[in-house]
Amino acid sequence: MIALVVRRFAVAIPLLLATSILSFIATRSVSSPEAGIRSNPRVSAEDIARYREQLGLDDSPTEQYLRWLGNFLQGDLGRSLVSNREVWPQLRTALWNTTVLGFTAIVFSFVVGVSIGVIAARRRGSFLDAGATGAAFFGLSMPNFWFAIMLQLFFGLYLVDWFGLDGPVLFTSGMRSPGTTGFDLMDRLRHLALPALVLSVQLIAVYSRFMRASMIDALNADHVRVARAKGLRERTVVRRHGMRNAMIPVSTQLANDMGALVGGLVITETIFQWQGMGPLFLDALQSGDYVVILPWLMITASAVIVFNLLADLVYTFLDPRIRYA
Amino acid sequence: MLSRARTGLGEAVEPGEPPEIDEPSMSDETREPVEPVDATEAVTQARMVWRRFRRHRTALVSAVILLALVIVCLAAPWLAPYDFTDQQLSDQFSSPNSDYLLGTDSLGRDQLSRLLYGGRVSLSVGFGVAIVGGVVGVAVGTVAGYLGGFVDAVLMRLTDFALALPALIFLIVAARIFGDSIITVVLLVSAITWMGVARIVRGATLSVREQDFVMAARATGAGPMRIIVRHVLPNIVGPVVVNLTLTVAAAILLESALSFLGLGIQPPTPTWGNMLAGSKGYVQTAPWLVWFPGLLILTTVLCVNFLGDGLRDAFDPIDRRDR
Repeated sequence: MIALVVRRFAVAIPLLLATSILSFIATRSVSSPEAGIRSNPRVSAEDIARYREQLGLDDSPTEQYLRWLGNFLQGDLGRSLVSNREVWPQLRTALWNTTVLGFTAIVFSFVVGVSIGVIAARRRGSFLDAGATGAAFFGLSMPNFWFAIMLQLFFGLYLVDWFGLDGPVLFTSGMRSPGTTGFDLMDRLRHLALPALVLSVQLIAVYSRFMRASMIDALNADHVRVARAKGLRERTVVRRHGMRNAMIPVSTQLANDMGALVGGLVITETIFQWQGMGPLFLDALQSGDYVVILPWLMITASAVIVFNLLADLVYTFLDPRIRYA
Repeated sequence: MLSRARTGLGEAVEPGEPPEIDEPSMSDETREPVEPVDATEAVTQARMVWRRFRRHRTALVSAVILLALVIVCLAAPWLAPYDFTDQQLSDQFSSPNSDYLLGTDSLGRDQLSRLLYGGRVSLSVGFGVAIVGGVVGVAVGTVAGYLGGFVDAVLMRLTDFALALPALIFLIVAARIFGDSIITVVLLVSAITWMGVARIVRGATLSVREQDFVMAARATGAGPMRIIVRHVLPNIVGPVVVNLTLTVAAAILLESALSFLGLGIQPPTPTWGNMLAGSKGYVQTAPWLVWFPGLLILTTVLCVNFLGDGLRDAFDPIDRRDR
């Protein structure tokens, strides 16, 4: 197992390096950080030259990249080329906001998805099972950006109109009401609900399908028949002998999704103006701010790698039959 | 939205069963309840698949709807009441009425006409990606699986790398570099969706390669190319077709997500995705501009997914519903 961890990290390092080089080239070739200043007619050519000089934009690309890499390895993320704000505090805030949203969505989806899967597996072929299957197909086919807009329309406009409310029950954008200070849990939850719901639709669909399939397999296993034969209560059979085994594939999927969430909420966060990793990435890409883009990609890629590894470890932990050589 | 779906969760996860459990089996013939095998074997296989597919009502209905959508969009030049670029500024933001069946947008363009033409683009991207991604996936999978060794190791690491890329982030960056023509978008989306097919094909090739009939073919002097084309490919048609349908769904979703962020195919060429993007500022004043493109994307992807599910059942001789 230790060998697996070591090997994964040995593979991960060149992967991360390659990613950073490619994204450096990509970011720098697409847009340039001084574009914003350049479009301002009052800024003279000398000012632009001085600006480029200060940021080291005139150095060769190799030098720029190596300088960034050297600082990065020493834990210095530097300052944004555009806003001159320190990068790390921005990333930290964005990471936290994304984690709050993603974690809520994933935990909610896991609980709901697993429950649906178990119920559907136990009443296979029933009306309920067919309904769950149909709903899962809808969830998987739903363009999430459209669903998000429809939710905004529904909660922000239709519901308010129909019931003559003063304001929306669930807020359709932002992370907290403007002007509020301090921490108001209800207010936060009302902002969190809709984006979390958008993310959950697809996740619930995936988890419920996984859970249903593996639960069917688990309940057909011999040891479950033995458990029933020796007279255990059905509830005990389902929970202790069925679900415990059936949860294994879903759990690894859960771990993988957690890794993907860190950089995977771009669209939802943009639509709901959630100040997470997504908007930060799009803004930085727009302005060619590679000082922000590169650590962003390092963090999200690392999250994927670490959680994939975690998924494999969870697997060996939950299923003792599997051993990695 | 997230993972692999990589559509954000990004990628369309196979709706059926978890991949770990659902390794599609190849040799249909071996497990099929005995059917007379004669010179018309290929016909028999197709007929059996069709018979099983027909039983899957939802898939059949989906196939019909999908076909209708394709035909209607192909016939756009004859069906569309207006040109998709025609602007009637005096009629901007008309709600659906008898002149404009689905209303008009911010420039007074007829939404129905734009949806029809947009459908051509969106559907072309979906099917184009399936073709390009399918060819690449089959090529990589067969070569890796058949040759094995070093080639296999290199190709599979490449596959792993591509799988580790977050699809939407890759597309956002790549679209900015390589531009946004339809061809580019098809190629870029293919670049991020060929791996599923490659893995399936490689696995199947590995197992077929060890079969006696392949050894027999090799003994009679057949080269790798001939063995791949004549013996391996026919055995993996089912899983590949199923995976390609799911690729169509994923591609349509990815293209529309990319367009939605303003990075995909650019206006005035309409796609369902960029029509949504263009109208997101008018959600409150002109909700019909948001309703219809989204509904079309949803319907199309839903039908493709149901179709894929039906095909999976049809190609897989073990009836999963009876299990």
